[in-house]
Amino acid sequence: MNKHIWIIASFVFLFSCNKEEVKDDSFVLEQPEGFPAMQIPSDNQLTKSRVNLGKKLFFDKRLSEDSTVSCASCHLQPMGFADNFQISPGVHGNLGFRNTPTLTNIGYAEIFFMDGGVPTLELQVLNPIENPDEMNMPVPQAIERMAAIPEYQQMALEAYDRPFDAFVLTRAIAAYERTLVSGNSKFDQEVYQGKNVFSQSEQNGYQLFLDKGCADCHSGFNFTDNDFHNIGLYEIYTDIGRKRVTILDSDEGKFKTPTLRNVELTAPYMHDGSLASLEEVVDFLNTGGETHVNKSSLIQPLNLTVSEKADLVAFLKTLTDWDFVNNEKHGIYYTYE
Amino acid sequence: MKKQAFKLLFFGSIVTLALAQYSCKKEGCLDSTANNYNWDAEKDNGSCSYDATLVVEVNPKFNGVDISFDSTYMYAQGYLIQFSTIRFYTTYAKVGNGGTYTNANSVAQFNYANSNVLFSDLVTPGSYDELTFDIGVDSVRNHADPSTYDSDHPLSTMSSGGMYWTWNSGYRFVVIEGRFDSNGDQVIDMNDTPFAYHLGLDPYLRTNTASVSMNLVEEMTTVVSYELNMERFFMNATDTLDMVANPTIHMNPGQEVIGEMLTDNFNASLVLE
Repeated sequence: MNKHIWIIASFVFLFSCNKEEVKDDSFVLEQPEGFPAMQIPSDNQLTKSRVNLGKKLFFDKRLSEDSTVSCASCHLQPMGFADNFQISPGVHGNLGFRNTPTLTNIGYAEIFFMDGGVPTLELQVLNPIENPDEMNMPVPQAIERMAAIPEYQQMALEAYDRPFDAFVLTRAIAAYERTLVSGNSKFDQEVYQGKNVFSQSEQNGYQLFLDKGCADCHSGFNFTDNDFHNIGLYEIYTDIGRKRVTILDSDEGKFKTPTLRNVELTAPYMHDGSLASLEEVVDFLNTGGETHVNKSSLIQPLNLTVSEKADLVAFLKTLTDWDFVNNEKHGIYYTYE
Repeated sequence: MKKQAFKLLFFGSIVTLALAQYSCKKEGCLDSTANNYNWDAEKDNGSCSYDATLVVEVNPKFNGVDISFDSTYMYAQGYLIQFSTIRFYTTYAKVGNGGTYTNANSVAQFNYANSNVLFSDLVTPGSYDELTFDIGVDSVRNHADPSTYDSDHPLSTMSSGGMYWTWNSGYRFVVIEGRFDSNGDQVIDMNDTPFAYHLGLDPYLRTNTASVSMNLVEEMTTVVSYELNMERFFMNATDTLDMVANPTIHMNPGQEVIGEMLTDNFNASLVLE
């Protein structure tokens, strides 16, 4: 009898030792209070392995011609995933013609680039790699280079069940970028979380933001209407904005409304980085802008007093999410397990 | 007698069964390479039919001479030019007969650096009097995701070879590049100014139609040759492109007039040899 018990026990032990541990690859995306669910393409639902792969690629300088520039070179976490150059230098110090946009809450964007030339986050990935003023790497060459790295091949198979290719490259980086969700700023705590954290100046600034029509374009939970506007920055635009894509004169000087989240960290401002500080931005908007046939009728002189301008800037700074910019999960040294 | 009757019955039954079996075999085409291969047929009935092969070639020429990327050519405005890239897309190639069309090719990319063959494809045999295709990529595929195609597809990220515009999702329909003798030393080298004419965008899709008598025969290859007259590309009846003033056209705003002229010129320059 005892002998039988030992045999059974041995089998049980052996069986339990052979049991493979099933890795949980599911990824739960943070959805802050007041935020809607993010719309994610069916062929690129988030998983840990996809986000890990995308993050690794995002920080990998080998995607650029001379291995000196990565996505993260211009999209720095401490600066709200933007940088502080007027125009960011690419390979060989090449300069493009637009200021680096923030990637804060980029997964909620509905159209990409300031002129809206690209319809999906996945397709957006291709431009900086191929752009001569950024990474200057023909995408097929970039793929060949990365596909030759065994670690990437293995990660591609784990994440997408296929060898490393253009599909994997575009999907993985987009997957990582969708995790860059920022929703715990002082504003969120005050408005969405019901905490009483605003100072009087910040509260005044918020009221001005609503009353003066700023929120007409910088609207909703992400402070953007995802639309294009000419704000009268110039009488004559050297960068014609949305018209570059549509070829319509009526789109000249129109640029996509940027989110204001983490705006304190992303100076300088405007499509060309021509305004150095939030104070300069408020001063400009206070004038009502230059004359232009396409200028939005929403842009009018604000007639703000000195203290009101300070209040408005104070409010804008409440959109800084320090948890977001300090979140180690967004950094290269963190791996989702 | 009884034994003989039994034998007769036995063999008769076998013959009948064999005949029945044979006559019940489903008939059809047993050649798996044929258009009408019938996978559950057991008896070939001689009905197999096969496609014809249509090869379309394009021969870029300047002053009636085949273009070589190593040679220079005298431009209409009196300076030398040299080509380095001649590429374009065609979509929805069809052969027609009296207004009825048959598909010949879905999408092809011509790259003169590799070959003078635009496409080689299987086509339903028959007599045709027209060959037509769009120069460029139709609006649906023009805005599709290139990373979703197999890597050998002409529209894929890997095979489009720089024909995809990443800043404004879509393809360059036509790319003509090279240099012109901008310093007037009668030599073209790296000191001279490059020219780049990148044509595209949905409104600039053009349809090229040629009258051509073709009798496409089963399992036979028919070659149709076009000339791409590059002089014509740069000029029409009233205007000649000023390469010095307009060395690059990327269909940006302000370039609509020249872009449209070059688009129409390109279509007109592609004619049957």
